[in-house]
Amino acid sequence: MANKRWPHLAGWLAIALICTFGLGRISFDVQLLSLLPGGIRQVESLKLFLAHFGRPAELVLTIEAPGDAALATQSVEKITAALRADRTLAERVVDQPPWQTSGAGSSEFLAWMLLSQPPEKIRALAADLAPERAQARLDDSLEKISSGLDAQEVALAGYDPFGFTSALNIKTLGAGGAPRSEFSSADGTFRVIYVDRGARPNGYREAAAWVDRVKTAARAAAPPGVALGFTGEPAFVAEIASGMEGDMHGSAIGTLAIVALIYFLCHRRFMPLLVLNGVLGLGFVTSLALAGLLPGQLTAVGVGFAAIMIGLAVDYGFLLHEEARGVRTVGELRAKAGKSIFWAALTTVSAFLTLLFSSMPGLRQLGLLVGLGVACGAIFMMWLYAAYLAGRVEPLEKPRAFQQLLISEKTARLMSWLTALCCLAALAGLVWRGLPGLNSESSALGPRHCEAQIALEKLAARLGDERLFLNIIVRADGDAAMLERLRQLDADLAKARADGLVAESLNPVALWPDGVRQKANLPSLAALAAELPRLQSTASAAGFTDDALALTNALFAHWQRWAAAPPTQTLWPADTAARWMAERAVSHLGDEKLAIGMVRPAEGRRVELVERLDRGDTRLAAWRLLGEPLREKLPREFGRIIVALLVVIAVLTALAFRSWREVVLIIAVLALVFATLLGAMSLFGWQWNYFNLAVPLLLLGTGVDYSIHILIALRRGDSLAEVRGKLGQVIFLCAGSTVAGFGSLAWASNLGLASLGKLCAFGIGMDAVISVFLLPIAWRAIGGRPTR
Amino acid sequence: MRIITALLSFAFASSALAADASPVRAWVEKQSAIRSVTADFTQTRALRALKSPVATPGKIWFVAPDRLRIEIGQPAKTIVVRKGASVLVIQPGKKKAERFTVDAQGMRQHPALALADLPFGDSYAEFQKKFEVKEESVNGDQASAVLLPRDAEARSMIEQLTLNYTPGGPLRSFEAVTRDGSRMRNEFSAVVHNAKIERAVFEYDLTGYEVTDGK
Repeated sequence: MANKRWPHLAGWLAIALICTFGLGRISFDVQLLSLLPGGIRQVESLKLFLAHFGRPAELVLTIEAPGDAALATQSVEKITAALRADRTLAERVVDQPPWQTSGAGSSEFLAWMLLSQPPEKIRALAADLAPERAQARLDDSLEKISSGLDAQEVALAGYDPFGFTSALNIKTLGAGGAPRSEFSSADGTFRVIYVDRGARPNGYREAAAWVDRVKTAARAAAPPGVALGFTGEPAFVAEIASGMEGDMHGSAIGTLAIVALIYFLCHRRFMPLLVLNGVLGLGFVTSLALAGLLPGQLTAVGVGFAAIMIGLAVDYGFLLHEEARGVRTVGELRAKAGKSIFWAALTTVSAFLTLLFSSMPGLRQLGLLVGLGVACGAIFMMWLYAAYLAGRVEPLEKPRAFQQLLISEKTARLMSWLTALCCLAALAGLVWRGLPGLNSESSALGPRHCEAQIALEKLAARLGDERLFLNIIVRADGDAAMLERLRQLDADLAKARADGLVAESLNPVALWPDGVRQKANLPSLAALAAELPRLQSTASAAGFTDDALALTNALFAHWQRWAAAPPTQTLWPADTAARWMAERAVSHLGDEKLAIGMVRPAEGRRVELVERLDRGDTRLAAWRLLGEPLREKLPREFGRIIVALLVVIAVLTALAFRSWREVVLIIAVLALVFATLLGAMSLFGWQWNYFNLAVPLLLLGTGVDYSIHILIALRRGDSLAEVRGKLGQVIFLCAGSTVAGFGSLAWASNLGLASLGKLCAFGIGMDAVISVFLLPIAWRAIGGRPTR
Repeated sequence: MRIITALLSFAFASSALAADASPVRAWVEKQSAIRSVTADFTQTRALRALKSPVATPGKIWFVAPDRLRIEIGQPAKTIVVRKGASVLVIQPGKKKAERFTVDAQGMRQHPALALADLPFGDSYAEFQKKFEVKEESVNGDQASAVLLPRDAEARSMIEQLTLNYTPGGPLRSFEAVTRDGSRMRNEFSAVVHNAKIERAVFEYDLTGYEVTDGK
């Protein structure tokens, strides 16, 4: 007796260990990019962009006061004050360009940029400030003040009378196009506040909690009549992750409920139902825990497929329940149902594990999770549920009403014709409308309703649509290499512009410091700083006030401070506002150095521009650049996996049946299901996307079970009526639960997942009716006979 | 600056004061009757950065719909010449000129083009798109209006604009007070409406000049 208990105890101990260590390690990756294949340059470029410039701790708050700029201004002031008042809420709240509000930050930023100018330019500047020439500089500034046309130029001449900023040639930062503001629309009715949390939120729950706190504080402070929007990476993370959590709970609980309902309607018994649900739950938790033990995070796909695991694993429970009628011992039951469950589980698990060869992380996770789930489900059903059912299910005295309906020849004929007609109609639709198209837009994979996306689109519409631009990301191992690449980029952009490929561009070359020049310029500029009393006196004599020299004083102070303790490495600004300005375009703190610029291709020249600029460590990144490589790569990859799956299925079914007839029939059923699905998609206007391209793979993995069960029963000599009556009910129960699993995804918050659920539900449903009503006829028609 | 220079477009309006409208409204609505203008002006800039204000004389010629010449300084330090969509910003002392175009959408990439983009509109509705009228007053033959620009960028720099004009007559002066306390004032004199202006006024010989395309 004790010997018999040991395997059970060992099993429970293993489950306890797996769950203890695995569940705590589960984390979610909400990036859409994580679902896309590796090895595609454009995908890697976007990942690089999000990793370094995605600003994971910055929430973007938009304020819209239609037709009332004053109300918008008042709202910005109130909300900013409220957010700043709670020091636990945000490290920094930026509602205006820092160069307008932080004199210290601006002066350090300018002093730092001047350090990287060509030494000859700095020498010329110093020469212009020599005693005999300084007056000419001041006269030039006075002329700008008296006859200049540009208010900013006039103001600059007043506050920089010696013209230090003229050495920066700031205009070369951007080429072409009107300047855009990150803070306000031109009419002032649409304003933006950047709320920086400081530290990146630790996980999506922390992000969601923080975003909620900011929303609450902002809404409480906003006057009536203004519309607030929240976007930026934390808003997306909070919304998408919460949606995923809802999808997981909703689909898993919904599926369990539907499975329980179907089971109860068929068997009218509670205890087996409770035990079945317990075993399903155990299988689900164990497979999730197993996935948690593996490296990497769960993605939306992995989580969404929790429901599929349940839908597939419950099939074995239904089959066991049917086979358990009149069976007294667990050994007998396992022997009776074992072959069907073993081969069905083996083909399903093998099919899903084939997805591990995919280059798409999402698909790999799908394959692994569902493979683990089905394997766990099959093992737990044979181990626990079979043990419970043995001796507890009495034979039916007479078939139930639904079974009688299935057994009836009249019904069978009618259903066979109807199934055939459905298939023909779908095939006709396929011929008439052609193959369904592929929607390569990223929106087809995003959330169904996303407030962060709506706010982002409004932001783009009101402040200038940056989505017309491609991000230029330049990567280098060190400062010198980066500078060389940025200068090369400058030349490349100038040539592309001359060739008509570029409408506008922004190169961050001016924001990357030149360590060599810094070393060369610092002594000259520090020496110039020693001349401050003379320059002050000259400016005063020319009619300038002390206010006019505030910037000059600050620049000199920075240069003297740096010169007093010369930096051993390339110098970067330290002031918060100065860092804010620099880090919008550069990322220099890690081992990997990155800089980001922007380019707007000329009309119709995008492909040429990408071909010319997107090389080596200079990358162009944008969502819309993903379309072409994915369109090229994914169908090929899916085609390869489908062929591999078919081979696996053919080999396994050949091993199971050792007859070509059954193998051909199983492949034919799968082909018919797939063709019917394509026809229905064409008729209903459904499209493929990068998510639901996995549907054929899922159908191959899940749909083969029904054919296996039917063919095993036919070969062991069951009559057609018996097969329909007994297995038909089981298959419709199985299909019902699987369709419930997939169908529940149709309401998922993620559109890709929802479309996948819809297509799978349709395909599985068709697979069930084809297997029950057409497969037995076809088997007989091609000479199928019982083997005993 | 665009906002300040925009006011020049209303500088030469002459109108009868309508009894049932605000003074500035009546004054603005009459400007469409102007076919040409010549005037002298004095531009005074009292910046916080300067110990004493800088005053610069200037002259303006305008023929509807789109010919304009402005000279700032005597002799002129800066000259703006517009003919149709083409605008030149000339610095005679430096023998340099920049060429700009006012495009179909009225897009301007240089502040001078705002000045050159006359007329700014001949209706009060258009005026209101650019300015919010904060208060108005009339005292005998002198009227004034305190304005705020609607453009957010201009608003971030300008505290207040004051328009002084003669009801039914021309603009006398306008003044911009910036947020740092600086003041920029333009006073007009010798305003002549609808006189014939030689076409040659809107020509400029750029021989010997370095001409660049403005960006």
